[in-house]
Amino acid sequence: MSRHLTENLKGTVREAASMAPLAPSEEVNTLAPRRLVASLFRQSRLILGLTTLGVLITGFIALSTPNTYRSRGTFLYTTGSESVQVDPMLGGGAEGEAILGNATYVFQADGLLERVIEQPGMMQKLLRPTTTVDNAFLKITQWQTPEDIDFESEEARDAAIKVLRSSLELSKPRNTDVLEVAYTAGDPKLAQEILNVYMQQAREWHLSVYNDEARLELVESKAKQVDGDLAAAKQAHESFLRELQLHDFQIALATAVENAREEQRRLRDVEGNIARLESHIEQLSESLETIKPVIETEMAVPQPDPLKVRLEDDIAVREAKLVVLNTRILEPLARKNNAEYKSTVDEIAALKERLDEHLKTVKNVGTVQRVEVVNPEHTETNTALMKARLDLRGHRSELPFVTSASEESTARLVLLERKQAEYRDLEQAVARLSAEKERTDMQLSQALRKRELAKGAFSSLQQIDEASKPLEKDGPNRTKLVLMGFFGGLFAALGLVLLRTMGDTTVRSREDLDRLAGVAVLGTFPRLDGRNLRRHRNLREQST
Amino acid sequence: MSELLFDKDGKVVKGRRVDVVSTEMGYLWANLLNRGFLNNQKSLGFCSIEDDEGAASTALNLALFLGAKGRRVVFVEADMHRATAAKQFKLSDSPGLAEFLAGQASIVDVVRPQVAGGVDLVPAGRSEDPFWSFTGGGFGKVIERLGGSYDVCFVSVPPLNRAPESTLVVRTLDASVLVVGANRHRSEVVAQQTAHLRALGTPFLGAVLNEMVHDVPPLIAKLT
Repeated sequence: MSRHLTENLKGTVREAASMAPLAPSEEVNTLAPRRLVASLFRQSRLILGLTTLGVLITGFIALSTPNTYRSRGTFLYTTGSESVQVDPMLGGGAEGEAILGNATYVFQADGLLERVIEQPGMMQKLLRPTTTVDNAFLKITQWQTPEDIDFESEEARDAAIKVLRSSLELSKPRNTDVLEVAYTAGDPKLAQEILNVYMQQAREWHLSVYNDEARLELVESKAKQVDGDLAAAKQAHESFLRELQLHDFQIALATAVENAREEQRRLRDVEGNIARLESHIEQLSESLETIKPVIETEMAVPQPDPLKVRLEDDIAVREAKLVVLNTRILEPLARKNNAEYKSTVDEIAALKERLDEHLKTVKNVGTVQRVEVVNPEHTETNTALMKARLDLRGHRSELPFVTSASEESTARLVLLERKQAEYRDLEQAVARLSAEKERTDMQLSQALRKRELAKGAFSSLQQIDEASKPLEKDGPNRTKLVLMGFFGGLFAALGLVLLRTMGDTTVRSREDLDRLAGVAVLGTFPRLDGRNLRRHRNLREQST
Repeated sequence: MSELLFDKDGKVVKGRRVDVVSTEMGYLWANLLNRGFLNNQKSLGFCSIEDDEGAASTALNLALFLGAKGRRVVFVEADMHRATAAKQFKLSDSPGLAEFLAGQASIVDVVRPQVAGGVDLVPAGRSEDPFWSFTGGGFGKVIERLGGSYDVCFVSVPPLNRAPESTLVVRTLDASVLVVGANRHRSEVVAQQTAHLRALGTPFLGAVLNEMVHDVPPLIAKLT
C-alpha cells in the first residue's frame, strides 16, 4: 500500500468519523523528499535550460580556443658552489631552491627577450602566427589580430615580448640540476622554432654576461675612486683635529664647557669677595673712629711687701737649685738619701711655711687708683680692620688672573662650538665613505672571482636537449570543458531549485492543504490535460 | 452519471475527463455529507480567494452531478462581476439575481428551470453596483425562498479578495467551502482566508483543491 494511499485513507476515515482534520504535519519546516522531487520535476525546464546554457558556454569556449602545442627543451646547471651562480654580479649564492627563482628572473629578463624578438622573422611569428596543421580553431582567432601591423613600432615590440613571456614556462624537476623550458603555441612547428631560437639566444646572452670585462673595469675604477675619497676625508679630519690641537673633539668640547663654567664661577666669587671686603672695611673704619683707644678704670694697686718678696725670691732660688739637683740625681732613692737635696727640700718647706704665716698676718689691701688702660674693643676692631685690608689686597691681586682665565676659557668654548658643524660634516663623510668602500670591495672581489671563471670560458648553463617537436596537442581538453559546463550548469540549477523550494509555501497538493490547521480537504480536482488526467487516474487507482 | 460538466473556463468537459470529474464530485459530496451538510444546512457557498480559481464551475458541476442523481438543486450565481452561467446554458442573463435584489423582477422571473436534469439556475443578472445589491437584505430572502423549494442550494460566491459583497453573501448562507486553485497561493494566504471565513460566523466545512497538477510520474511518486 502506497504512502499516498495510506494518507488518503487516513483522511477519508477521519472525515467519515467527523473527526477534526489531521494535525499539521511535523514536517512543516523541513523539506520533504516528495516535495523536493515534485519541485525538481516542476522546474525541469529550468534545470534543462541552465544545463544547456552551461554546455553551450563551455562548448563555445572549447570551439573558440585554438589547439595549443608545447615544445620542450632542457638546460643543465653544472654543480659546484661557484658554478651554480647564473649571474655572479647579482651577489649572493643561488643555491638549491633559489635556482629556479633566479633562473626565472634571468630567463625572462627583458634583455634576453629583446634579443629573441630581434632575430629575423620572430616578430611575425609571435604576432601573426601561421599554422602548418589543419587547425580550424586557430583560424577563428586570426580575425582578432589587425591586418596591418607595424613590426618596427614600440607597441609591436611590447606586444611580442608580452606574447613571448606569457607563452614561456620554466620548471626545475626536484633533486636535479636540469632546467626545463617550454613554449606553447598554436602550431607544433612554430612552437619548436621559437623555442630553439630562444634557447640559443639564452646561451649566448648568458656567456656575454659572464665575459663582461667592461663591468670589471667599472668596478675597479669605482673602488679606486672610493679609496681616494676616503683617504682625503680622513686627512681632512686629522688636519682639523691637529689645527685645534685635539685628540678627541667631543671630549675637548665637553671639557671646554666645564672649564668656562668653572672660571666664570671663580671670577664671580672673587669679585663678590672684593665687594664684600670693601664694604666691611668701610664699616670697620667708621666704627673705629667712634671707639676710644684708651679708657680710664679704677684698679687696686697693692703696697710693696719686701719680706714677701725676699721670701719668694729665696723660695725661687732653692727651687732652681732643686731642679739642678733633680737633673743630677735621677734615682728617687738616691735623692732621698742625698743630704744636700734633703736640706734644700727642707729649706723650701720652711720658707713656704714662713711665707704663709706672713701672708696670714699681713693684709695687703692696697690703694684704689684711677689708671688708663688700652680699650680692648678698639684693639679688636683695629685687628679686624687690618685683617680685612690684608684679605682685600690678596683678592685684588688675584682678580686679573681670574678674569684672564675666564676670558680664555670662554673664547676656547666659542671656537669649539663654531667648529662643531664642520667637525660633524667631516665625521659623516668619513663614515659614508667607509661604508661605500666596504660595498665596492665586495663588488670588486665578486667581479674578480667572476673573471677567473670566465677565463676558462666556463658557463653554468649548457643546453642538453633541443626544442622538441610536439606530437600531439597540449590543450584545450574540449571534452573536459563541455563536461564541466554540463555539470556546472546542472549543479547550479539543482542548487537554485533547492533554494527556491526551501522557501516555497505555495499550496500545490492535498498534503499542503492538509498541513493547514483546521482545514479539511473535501476534494481534489486535477487540471484537465491528458498527462495530468492519466497521472491522477493512476494515483486514484493505486489508492483504491 | 452526469454527462454535462464544465471545466474552469466554462467549456463542456468531454470524454474521459467526465469520468474523472464525476468521480471527484462523488468524493466531494461524500465528504460534505460527512461534514454534516444537509443535516440542518441547505445552502452552501463556494468561495475562492481570487478570480478564475474554479469556485463557480465546482459549484455548478456539483449541482449538475446531484441533479443527475435525482436531487432538486438550484445553482445561484452571486458573482455579478463574472456572470457566465447563463451563457454556458445559452440562456439570457437578465433578469437575474441583480434584478430581483433591485426589486425589478420576481423570484419566478429570475429562476431558469431545468437547465440540466434536476437543476435550476438563478443567473447573476446585470448590476451596475454589485456591492449595494447585497446590502438590502434581499439576498437572504432569496436563499430562504429557494431553500423551501429545493433540496440543496449552491451559491457561487464572488472572490473574497476582489469583491467586498462576498462577506455579505457568505453570512447569509448555511455553510461555506473554499475552493483553492493549486499553485496559486501560499499556505499563509489560504490559512488567512479560512480564518476570515470562519470569523464570518457561517460554518466552514473545508477546502477543495482545484486545477491540481501532478508533477511527479506515478512510478517515482510511488518510490517517494
